[in-house]
Amino acid sequence: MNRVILPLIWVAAWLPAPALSAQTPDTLPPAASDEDYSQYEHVQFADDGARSYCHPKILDLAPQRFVSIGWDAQASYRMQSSALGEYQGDDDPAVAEESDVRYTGGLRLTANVPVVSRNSVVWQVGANYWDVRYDLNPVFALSESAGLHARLADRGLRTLGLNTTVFKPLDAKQFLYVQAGADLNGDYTFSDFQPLRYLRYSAAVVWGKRPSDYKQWGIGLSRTYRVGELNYLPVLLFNWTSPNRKWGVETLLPARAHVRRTFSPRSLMLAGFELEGQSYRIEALSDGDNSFEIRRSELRIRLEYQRQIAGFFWVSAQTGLRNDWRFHGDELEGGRDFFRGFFGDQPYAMLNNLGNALYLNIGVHLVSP
Amino acid sequence: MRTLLLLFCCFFSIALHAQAEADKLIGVWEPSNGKARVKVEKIGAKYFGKIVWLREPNDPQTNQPKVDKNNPDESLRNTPLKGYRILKDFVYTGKGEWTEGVIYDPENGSTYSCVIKMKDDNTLDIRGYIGVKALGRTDVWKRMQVTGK
Amino acid sequence: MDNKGKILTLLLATVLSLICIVVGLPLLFFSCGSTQTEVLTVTGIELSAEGPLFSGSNTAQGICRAELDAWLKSRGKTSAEVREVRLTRAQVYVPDTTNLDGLASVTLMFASDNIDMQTMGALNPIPAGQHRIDIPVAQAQQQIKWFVVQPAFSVVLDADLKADSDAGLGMKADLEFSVSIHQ
Repeated sequence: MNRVILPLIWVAAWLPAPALSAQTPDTLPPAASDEDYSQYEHVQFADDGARSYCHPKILDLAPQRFVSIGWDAQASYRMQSSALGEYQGDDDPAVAEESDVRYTGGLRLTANVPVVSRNSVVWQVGANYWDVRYDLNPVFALSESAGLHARLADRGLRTLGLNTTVFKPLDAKQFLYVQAGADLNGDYTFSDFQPLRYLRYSAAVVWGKRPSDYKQWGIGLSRTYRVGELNYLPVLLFNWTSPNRKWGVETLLPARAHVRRTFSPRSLMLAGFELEGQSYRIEALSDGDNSFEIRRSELRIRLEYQRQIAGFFWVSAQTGLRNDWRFHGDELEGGRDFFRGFFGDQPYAMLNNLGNALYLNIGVHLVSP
Repeated sequence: MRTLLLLFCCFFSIALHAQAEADKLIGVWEPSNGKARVKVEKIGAKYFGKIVWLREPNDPQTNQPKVDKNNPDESLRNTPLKGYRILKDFVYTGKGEWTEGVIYDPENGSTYSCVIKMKDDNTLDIRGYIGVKALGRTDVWKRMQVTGK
Repeated sequence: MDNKGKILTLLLATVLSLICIVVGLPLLFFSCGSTQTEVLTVTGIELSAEGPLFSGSNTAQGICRAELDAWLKSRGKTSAEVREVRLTRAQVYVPDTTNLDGLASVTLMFASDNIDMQTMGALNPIPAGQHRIDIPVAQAQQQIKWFVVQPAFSVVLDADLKADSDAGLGMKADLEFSVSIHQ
């Protein structure tokens, strides 16, 4: 019986081998012999075709960053502050405190992780931590000064934020982009943490079109702190790549606008500006439940070079002029933020004036596919 | 003897079934953007997919057939895109999933780790990712049937 | 610690660093050892695709048996002593007197069940009237050693045909590898 069974088992053991285990080259199947390439023009979906959705990006956009570690530093400038009081933005109060700021800068960490990333929807959750340290040399401080400069030198400013973005393609050409974020900004430290009720919320909704791989645009509305204080601003998205793929434009107004020069899929240069801002609570100047907040906003006119170093790791170097947009202080009653907009007449609690400064930003990034 | 024969038959049919399941990947597929069609074939025990059709076969700049001009290896930038193998080295690991392969994006010259999951006989979820599957993007590919000229 | 202590610590650290450099660098240099590079040639690899074939990219396949073990044995070496293998030359030709004018381009790959497929070179376009072509080999080559140490691996040639062909493809390939071996 064994003479029958053993060969049978042996055969059985080997029959599936070509499919299930490594196949030796000797058993290669015959090479394809029916490659009529014109036939692939005459095809139809075996069932319903996949619904086409537009891609979140266009060709050659600067790569999106999953993880980013950067360092930002500003050259020296002069900082002047008024005493605490009530001022309109265009007032010119006496300077109560003046310092030469020798260094402003610190670490910037950001992370964006896709929770869902399909062609039909992309949902990302991100976190960021920015640290701004001040090294300053006081020129003078009158007795009525609030002591802001000393506080900045002692504690610096910090931003810790969470954000989420959803890109929802509506069809092959249209999309919806929704972003929301919550940031805790202030002079807190991790051992002396700021209460979460001082979180500041921002959001944006953009509807757009992506007519081709070379162009996308969109319009929307944002609740933003980029101008330092709460504001509601229209958003204009416009990304474009030239047909020869050497030039492009990357714009998300009012946040940023850049002209791009693409040297290769692995290196590019951006020239343009970014508006950066947040509202920072200064604990020492906050009275009781009130929140004294520095409405920091700066326009950065800049040149940035990005290139791949290995695989999906990229480096960037950015330099330009940091232009003071606003650094005024507001006293928020009960810590509740308010909307002043461009035309409101609510008074500031402190007016500050910062000289402009050159700055440098370098970073290493893990970029997205 | 009967039991052994029965066992043999069971084993044989399971093996054939597994092979048939694995070979379901073979065919012509279209990514959701409709820009290309990719024919998946088997070489040895692995599955490979090459571009067999391009919606825009010619480079608008040169008006010549598109080549792999973004390849990180300069010496391969003249390789024609039609016929290019963008899916490589996929191994069937059961449960309608092919892993251990890579997918190449000719638009930026990047190669990503990739896993293919068959949602139904005519639909594939193709996820390209870097390092861990969470850092990636899934596209839906649909099977195409050749209808003749 | 007083100033004297600091100076002594600094001196000690400097001396230790110098010792590390003086002793470590030669050790590092000699531990790498020297290598010799030899040429391994595999000729007459048959690449075939059965006809009829249609215009466009068609796949011809063949088996490369580099027999590296025997080749190394004749030099008194083993595969463990092989440091690196690179493909330095790839020629494809038709065995008869015809030429390769029917092909628009070719892409050469190595494949194996155990190793990831690698594109080894491409020629586009193919010069007219050639009976034998040299395919420029890829600059980036990885793991070629692991293809060659196997008893056999697949050579895949994607050939872009200019027109339909009933005859199929019958070509041969000669491959030249540089093998770096530890002395």
